[in-house]
Amino acid sequence: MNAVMTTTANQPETARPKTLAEQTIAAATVAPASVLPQPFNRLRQAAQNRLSQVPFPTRRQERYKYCQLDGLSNTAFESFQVFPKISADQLAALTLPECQDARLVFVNGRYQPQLSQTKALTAIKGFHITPFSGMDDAAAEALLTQRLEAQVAGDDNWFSLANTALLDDGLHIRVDRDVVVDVPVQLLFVMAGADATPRIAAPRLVAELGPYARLTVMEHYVGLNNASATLNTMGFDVFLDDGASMTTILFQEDHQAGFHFNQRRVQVGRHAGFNQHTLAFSGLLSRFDNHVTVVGEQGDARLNGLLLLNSSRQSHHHLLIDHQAGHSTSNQLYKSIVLDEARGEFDATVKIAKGAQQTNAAQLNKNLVLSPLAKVYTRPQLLIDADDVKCAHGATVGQLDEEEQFYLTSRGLSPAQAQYMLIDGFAQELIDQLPIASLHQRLTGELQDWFNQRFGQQAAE
Amino acid sequence: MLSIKNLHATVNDTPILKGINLEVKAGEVHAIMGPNGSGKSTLAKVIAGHPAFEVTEGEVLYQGQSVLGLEPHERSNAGIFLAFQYPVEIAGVNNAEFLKLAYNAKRKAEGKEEVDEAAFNALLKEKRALLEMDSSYLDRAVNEGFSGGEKKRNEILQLALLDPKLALLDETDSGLDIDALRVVSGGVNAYKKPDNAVVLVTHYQRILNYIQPDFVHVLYKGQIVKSGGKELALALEEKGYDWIIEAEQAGVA
Repeated sequence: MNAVMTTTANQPETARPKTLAEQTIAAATVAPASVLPQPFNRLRQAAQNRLSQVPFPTRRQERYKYCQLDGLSNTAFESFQVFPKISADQLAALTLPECQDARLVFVNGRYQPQLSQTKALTAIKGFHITPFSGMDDAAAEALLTQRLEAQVAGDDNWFSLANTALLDDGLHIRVDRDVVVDVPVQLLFVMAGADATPRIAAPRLVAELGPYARLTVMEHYVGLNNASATLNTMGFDVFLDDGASMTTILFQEDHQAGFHFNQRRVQVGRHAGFNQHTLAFSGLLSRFDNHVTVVGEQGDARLNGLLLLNSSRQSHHHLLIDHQAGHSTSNQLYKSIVLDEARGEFDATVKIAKGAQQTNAAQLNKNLVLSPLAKVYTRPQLLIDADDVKCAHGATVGQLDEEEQFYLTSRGLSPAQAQYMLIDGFAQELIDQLPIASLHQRLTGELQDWFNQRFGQQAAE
Repeated sequence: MLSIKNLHATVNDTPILKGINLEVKAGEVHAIMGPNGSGKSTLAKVIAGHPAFEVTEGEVLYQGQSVLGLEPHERSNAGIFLAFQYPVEIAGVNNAEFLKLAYNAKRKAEGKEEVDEAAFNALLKEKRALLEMDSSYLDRAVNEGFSGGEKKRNEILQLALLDPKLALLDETDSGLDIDALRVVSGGVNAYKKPDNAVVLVTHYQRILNYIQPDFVHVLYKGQIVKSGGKELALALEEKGYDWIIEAEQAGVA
């Protein structure tokens, strides 16, 4: 048995039959319908060439060991041809009260200026948002040479390359030195189904913050009216100059048949701070690859995650925090609540380079597994080459605590009330930290609905 | 009020209680004393319905009805309250919110309307004053980061709010300094009425200087081996448990 497996693993990649998803996506990259300026063709071509050399992920690869890709691999994806109108009511329901005048909308990978409202942002001097589709050739050329082109050659992430090869559209966000953007910006990515064909989208964000600039964004991924599978390959590149500070809330509300692959590269400069709050609540299969490089001394990276998964949803969170400069700090707190046959994964590595002394890093992953068939995979790791650092990591996996439940029920709370209080208490630690107030109420409400649904099921059994 | 007959209970198949008999009437205070490991806390937890214990024999009647088939919340709603020896810390659950939910659960069980925030806060303020607890306790998570004394005050605050018929106090005195002991005992004495009863589990006689028992029982190896009035507690204070244990062993031999 071992011998057979070894042989299979050693087979050259060319001998491996290509999956349906791989074939169709590769075909789609050949001649994508494009609204982008000329220079982007060069970028897409480079990614397409690279894509042919990078194998499609399988579970034999360590990084995809727990990712059940069968459903994805066996689906024939095509690029979106139509970009349905989103009604004003639908848009209003999706817009946060804080972001009424600071909302940018993508539909099926393409930026939609007529659905976007940027009144609050155009008033801010030194804040620039430019859609890729609205750039002139010179601006596109500059973005490519400065930010996007160099990374293609070394990219071995299949979905990241697919995103670049298929690139639909994107936003180039720039905040000038000392500019504080005091309105949170909602970036709404809608996957809107039009027909029965599985579709793939490839939007991209690039954010550059100058020295001491500040920005808060909410990336909101939603599915509307979807009749078939969709695959969103998202890319986000963040560059934080000295003392810059950026917070992003990544709220994933994909539809039931939504695949979501999100690749994020973040560079944190001297005294700069990157804060990310990931909220993974839905979709069929999602995967987030976060690669944060702290390049400047006293740079700080904080990544939180809250996973709330039921049914047979899967959500995979891979993090690499690469400390290349000393006196830098990073902190990760990920919590998941899984039930039914859902799967959550936290695979996070903190890497500290030889010279990055006096670095302080912490990783914590806590998991509540509420059904016998639900699973979490947790792997917090430290790779330390420096000798004067402070690192802590830990993970817990468990059910609701029996003593805590007894304490609450002994005060007259019903078992359901007690369970809800404990689950809510578990999640609130992360919800409390979100910098947009309306999200607190909204997420607490979603958690309650989610629980009631679950408890209704239990009562019916 | 409470009638325990030949109660046997096990934890993980290890027998802890081996035939307890106890009668508690309204208006009475009973102290259950005994050396460590005698089963005092188990007795309190079994009455409250802790799921870790299995009753293998005997009966617990409360107001004439068996409670052994009832869930912990049903026992609580019926008027049984357990003040924990080690109050559980619950991260992320707000103390004030918890107290309000517990109070309204009791109101609901009594067929009364739930109270609103303002009415509850007024009641809570009054009870907090009794236990010398300032409002900072309310913003914190349930028992999280509370000192030993603060936890016990929070327990007696719940006793005062829920006003049960039967209060089981499990080592409420342990870990308290003299001031806290005075405050906590004051809370228990304020709660005491002719129509309710207190079963106080304690290792030391000290708390009985503040809360006067009508009866004192000595629990040893899962059985009540001696009962008496409050003078028994004084004798235990003076002579320890050994003389009772020796007498018991002589009797067995």
